[in-house]
Amino acid sequence: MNASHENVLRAYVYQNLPDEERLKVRRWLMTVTDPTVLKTYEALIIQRKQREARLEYWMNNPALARLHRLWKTKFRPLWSEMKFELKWPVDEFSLAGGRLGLPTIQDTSRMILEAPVGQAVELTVRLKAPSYIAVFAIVDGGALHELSHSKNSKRDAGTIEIKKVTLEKESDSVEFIGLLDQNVAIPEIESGDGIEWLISLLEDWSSSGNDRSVIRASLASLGTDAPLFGA
Amino acid sequence: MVSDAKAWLENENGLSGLCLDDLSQDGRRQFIEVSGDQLFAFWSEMFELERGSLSEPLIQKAIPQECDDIGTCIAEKLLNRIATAEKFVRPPGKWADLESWLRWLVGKPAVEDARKQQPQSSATTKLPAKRTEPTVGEDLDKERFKQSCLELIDHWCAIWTSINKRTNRRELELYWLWATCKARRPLTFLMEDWAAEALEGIHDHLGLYLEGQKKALAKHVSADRKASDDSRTKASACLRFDIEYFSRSEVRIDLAAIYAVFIGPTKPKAPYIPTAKLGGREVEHCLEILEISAKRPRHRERPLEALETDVLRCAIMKAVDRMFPCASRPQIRQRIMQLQQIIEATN
Repeated sequence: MNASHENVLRAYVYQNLPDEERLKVRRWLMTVTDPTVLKTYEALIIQRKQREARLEYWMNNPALARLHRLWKTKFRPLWSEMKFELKWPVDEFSLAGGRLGLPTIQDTSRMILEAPVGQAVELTVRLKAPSYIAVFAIVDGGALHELSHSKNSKRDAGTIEIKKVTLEKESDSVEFIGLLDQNVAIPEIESGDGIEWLISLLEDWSSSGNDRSVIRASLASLGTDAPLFGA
Repeated sequence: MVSDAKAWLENENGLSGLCLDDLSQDGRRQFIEVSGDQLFAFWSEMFELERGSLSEPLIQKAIPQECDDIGTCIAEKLLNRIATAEKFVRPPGKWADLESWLRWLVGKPAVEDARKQQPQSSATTKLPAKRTEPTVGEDLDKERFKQSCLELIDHWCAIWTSINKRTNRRELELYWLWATCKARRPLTFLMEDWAAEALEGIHDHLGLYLEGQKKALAKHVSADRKASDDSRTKASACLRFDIEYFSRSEVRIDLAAIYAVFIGPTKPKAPYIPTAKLGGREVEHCLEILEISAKRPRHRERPLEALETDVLRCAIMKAVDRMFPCASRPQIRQRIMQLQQIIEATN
């Protein structure tokens, strides 16, 4: 197996070859018995499926995509003022640590938290300085829920318990958004407000200085190894 | 041009909403206004996540300045380029084809453009059979033999094109490739020179721009359910291959019923059991197909025929019982054992 074979397979898998050359690769594949080449071919198919699943996710969740972009381009550099953490019993953790399978998407800049299905996990926030805070959850890309709000009084620095969360099935996903302001109380959500309210709030929020932060974390189920070739 | 680009970009996952119809500058700007957030979210996430598998020199060329979030930087630059590029003949690849978009960002020609820049001789690499005019008997035999190999390969390709189309499970072909590795091995040696020549031109067009890919790809194949290990899905693929194969040749049994069941819709997950139900008569027809494969001639003096027989016989494995209703499995297993004995006796 050499790198150029891999390039050929990649172009074939992503349908980026003219018909004449596509046919050549297809014929060549029928003669391939080298496991290294077949493994590469397989890995490329899996990679394409995984990538397209993510693209489909974002296509189906335009408001989340807007929020993601807003956060990435406007607030992300300030995220260290506040931090999300997830806790669950040690036994479960060690079990999880020993799990095998597809690598789960890990993104240090965005934070993907993982929890076992059916296991109550505790979401906490760590604050560096006394601040007004609000924590929201977006369940399955849909409704916006307020999990915690400091209203008109600042929360002390340290660890704050937010909520116990249980993922009921592997396909469940929750996005957590945490807002911090060291000077002014954070506006409160009103009934009927959804994710658009949060987007418009963040669009209006200035991001200068270190007195405001927005943090994000996605909660996914541990062990959701997507099938190699999903439905 | 517009409709070509549309058809080309439409995704198998039903992402027709993400379609760049109008390639004019205004059209592209409008497209970015509507779909920019989703593309940003996807690209920023993926370029960050898969950085290790992408060419570092290309990334550095794309984003020469200091950047602590490479995904965001590349995504923003791509969206900006799509909206503002003066010339935009066609998108460089599918949206998920990160490598092609990155190449485009740094001004490397797309595959199609690169092809046009190749000398004519390289761009139209011909198959040896058409190119070489044999002069002596031995060469002629060799060429005829190679031509027969290509015909065999094309026959297999046609079989898989049909199965892929009707089952909509392209991955079955991969499982079949794994399952038939040993049986197809002679073909690898027979076609080694042809393969090298056929791929040479494509290598030139693509260039070496994805160094360091292997390490990152390795993680994708370290999955629990590797195609190479999944015998039930291999059986599912091989049985379908045999049914499609014999539906194209003259056999004494009526294949219409089992063809409709197996070369049609499947359950969504491996081993891709057919959605339609099988009756007792159809089970018997399937067993007859396997029996024909088992009893097919395998003369050493006719190596291609022997090779094809070996490939067809790959469906005769224990795991094939999983394709059938529970009640018929003991009967299937027993027949499979008998057929395996027949094969052993004729090998």
